[in-house]
Amino acid sequence: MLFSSTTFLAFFLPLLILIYFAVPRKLRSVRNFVLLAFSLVFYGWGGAKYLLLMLASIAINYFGGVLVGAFKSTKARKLCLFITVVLNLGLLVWFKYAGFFTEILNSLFGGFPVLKIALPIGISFFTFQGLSYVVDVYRNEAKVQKNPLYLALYISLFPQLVAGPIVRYTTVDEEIYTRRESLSEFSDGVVRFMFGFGKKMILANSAAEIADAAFASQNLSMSLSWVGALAYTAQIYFDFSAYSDMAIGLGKMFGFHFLENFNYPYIAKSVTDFWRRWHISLSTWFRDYVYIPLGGNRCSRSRHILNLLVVWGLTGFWHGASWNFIAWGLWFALFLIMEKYLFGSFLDKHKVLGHIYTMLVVVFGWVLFRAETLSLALEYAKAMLSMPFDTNGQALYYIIQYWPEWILFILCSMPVCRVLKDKLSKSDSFFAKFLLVWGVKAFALTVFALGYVKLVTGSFNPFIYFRF
Amino acid sequence: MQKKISDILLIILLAVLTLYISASIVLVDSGDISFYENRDLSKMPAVSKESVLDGSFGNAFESWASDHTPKRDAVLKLKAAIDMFVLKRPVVNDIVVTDDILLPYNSFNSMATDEQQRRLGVFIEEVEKVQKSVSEYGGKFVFVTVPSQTVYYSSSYPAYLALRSDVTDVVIPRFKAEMQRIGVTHLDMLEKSKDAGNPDYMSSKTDHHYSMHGAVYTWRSVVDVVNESKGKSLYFPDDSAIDYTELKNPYLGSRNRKIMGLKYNDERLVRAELKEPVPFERYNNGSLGAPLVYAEPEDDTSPVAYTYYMGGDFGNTVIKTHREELPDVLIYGASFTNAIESIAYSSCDEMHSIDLRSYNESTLSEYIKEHKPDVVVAVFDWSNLATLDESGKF
Repeated sequence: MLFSSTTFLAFFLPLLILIYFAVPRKLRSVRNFVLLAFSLVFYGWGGAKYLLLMLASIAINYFGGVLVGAFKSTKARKLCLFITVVLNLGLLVWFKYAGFFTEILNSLFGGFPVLKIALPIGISFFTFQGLSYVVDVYRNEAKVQKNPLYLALYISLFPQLVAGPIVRYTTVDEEIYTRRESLSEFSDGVVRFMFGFGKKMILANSAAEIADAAFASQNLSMSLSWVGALAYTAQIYFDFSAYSDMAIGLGKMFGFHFLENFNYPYIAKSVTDFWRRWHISLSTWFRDYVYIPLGGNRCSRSRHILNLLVVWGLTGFWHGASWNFIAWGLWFALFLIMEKYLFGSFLDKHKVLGHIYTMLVVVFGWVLFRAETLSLALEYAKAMLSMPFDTNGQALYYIIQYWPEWILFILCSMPVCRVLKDKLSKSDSFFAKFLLVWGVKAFALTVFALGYVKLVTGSFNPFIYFRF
Repeated sequence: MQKKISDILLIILLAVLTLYISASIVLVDSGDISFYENRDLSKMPAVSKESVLDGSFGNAFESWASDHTPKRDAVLKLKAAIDMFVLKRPVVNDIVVTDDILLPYNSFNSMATDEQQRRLGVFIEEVEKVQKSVSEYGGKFVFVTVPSQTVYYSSSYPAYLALRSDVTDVVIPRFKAEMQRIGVTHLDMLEKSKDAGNPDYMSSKTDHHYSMHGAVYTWRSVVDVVNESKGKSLYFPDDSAIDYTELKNPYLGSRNRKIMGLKYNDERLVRAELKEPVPFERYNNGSLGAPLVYAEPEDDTSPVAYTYYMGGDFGNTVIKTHREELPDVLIYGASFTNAIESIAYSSCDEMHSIDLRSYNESTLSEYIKEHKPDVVVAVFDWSNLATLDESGKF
């Protein structure tokens, strides 16, 4: 089920709210059960057979956590953790990467059957969530969750189930037991959801139309390739951050406080800065569970470089079972290493140049990410760098046709709303207070209404991160 | 306090809207057909174990819920209006909107030339089969190509939009050469129109078909070509013997329909009738129907579409005029034949019409073999020759 669907907006969410809030607050466990049941329906709506996989993941992490917590000896705890990690990753590797690896084996040795296994939605997200829980239990950073239904709720909670953010167990541990839903937070959550919905429908989907046309073009000129690359840059940000907005908003409606996942990444002044702003939950996950255990930067330079290459190669690989995703991860690793050891301080002193450089790296990176294969990505990048600059009709069409969206792409990439909100908050005037209270809601309703118009009129509604 | 009030009002507003939407989807009958989209609306899917397990029920449920959202047409109109009149987008719902004409948006990715050639080759082979079938009993076969809007109004497109040059550069020259090679009488109305100074009536500003005047001009050209050869001659009087009546109703052309009828221009549908009417019987798919060739609207204000001509598309229509001195004619093709048929029946003894998109009783060759019409006329527009979308079973 998608958030941006009639089924979700007209049936699933209203029914959930009705039943959830009909249960008295003091019956926390019943409210949790309602959330869990609806979360399982949410996931199973796309194919009930995949529920078994989710339940298996929950069971692996539940028993893993219980066993890790039960044993006193480090060796035994480590063994339980190891088995749990292997089982978790085993599921992920089977469903997501088996086809990739068998293709490699087939191309090397020939005659090897290439497996084609359907990728269950959200498997990368809920696997990483489960892993983070068990590892945190092992590190004594989280208490063992003895109630399997509560652990199931954590892993399957529908707001962040299929496209993140990756929520650490410690973030929601207490809230599972003791959260307080309030009218104010419910309303704030609704507003956040509406902005996310509008962002998805108005910005992300429009950008997708442009990007898809450019990447499918049979006559890829320099101008069209840039139009497509920039459109995809917009698409992936607005699509993914919109989903995070909706997830955070929905969580808030039910008393959960998920961490922010994006912080205006396209204003970054360096690639390092970019990755502090983009998909924060994923980069911090890899930092805490892969990079630091490998030694982080507290080691020799050569080891540090290796650690970065491993982490970013895995980050790319997490996104997709394809060489171009690995190349995408390593592309960023290259620049992160160069910034760390070569020109990082230069960028600190030259912010405008740093921003331009960062955007170029990011845009070319997205070409690697978007293309179906590495060779297509290279062809596309070649078109972007080809000369002379041409006046391609198709490129011009996509600029003229989507002129309002291009303006919004730029405006909404910048923290305009945040700056405006800060200014209004500092003002004592009635008008400022009025705008903060009523204006924000009116704006959210307008954005939501326009998004709803697009929902009703469109059938074009892809979610990028559903591949993960 | 203000925040609390605003929170409450927001939630009440959304609750009321949500209840309205979900109740309307479930309880209100919004019909089975989307008029403007010209398609069937999705039905509520049946639940089955398989469909729940594989997720197809969820997808079908969403289609149904989306299709039956309340005020859907109003929302579609609102979006089209915003796009056209506020944002002034050049293309709205795949229609190129200019000041006085609505044109189709052509994809920039045209079919690869070799695939186009292959499809055209298949089409030409089918035409050759018809030629052979008709020649076997001494019938006459005329293949008529009419200009599509894209070709006819190519100069009205903004410079940056695609013009389907694959048709003008690839399809047209080859098709002409092949018709000559296989000996088919080819009547190209695009060329004739150029000779006549590209009259507006050969196309439409709001629909992909020609106007009634264009249909009459085309049919008169067919009659002239047929009557040049031996055998029974088709009868068709000159314009002074024809009454042309412009309907008062707004014309909802296929292009206009896609933008929800928001941009009516002055164009109106025209009815052409002989001053001395020819009585006839009409059979639709074998059953006797009303002796009408125009589907008259109930009043002067309801929009009318191209389906006014012959009441739309039937797989097979036979009109009998019981004038044995005149030849029998078979007209086949897609919807461009409809306007022609509204007047062509008066030229012959029996007029048979086959719409290749919906006729499934037999192949075209079998039909020709069975009925042996004296004259067979094919009518296609240039855009459809190499798509095989409407070629049916030859």
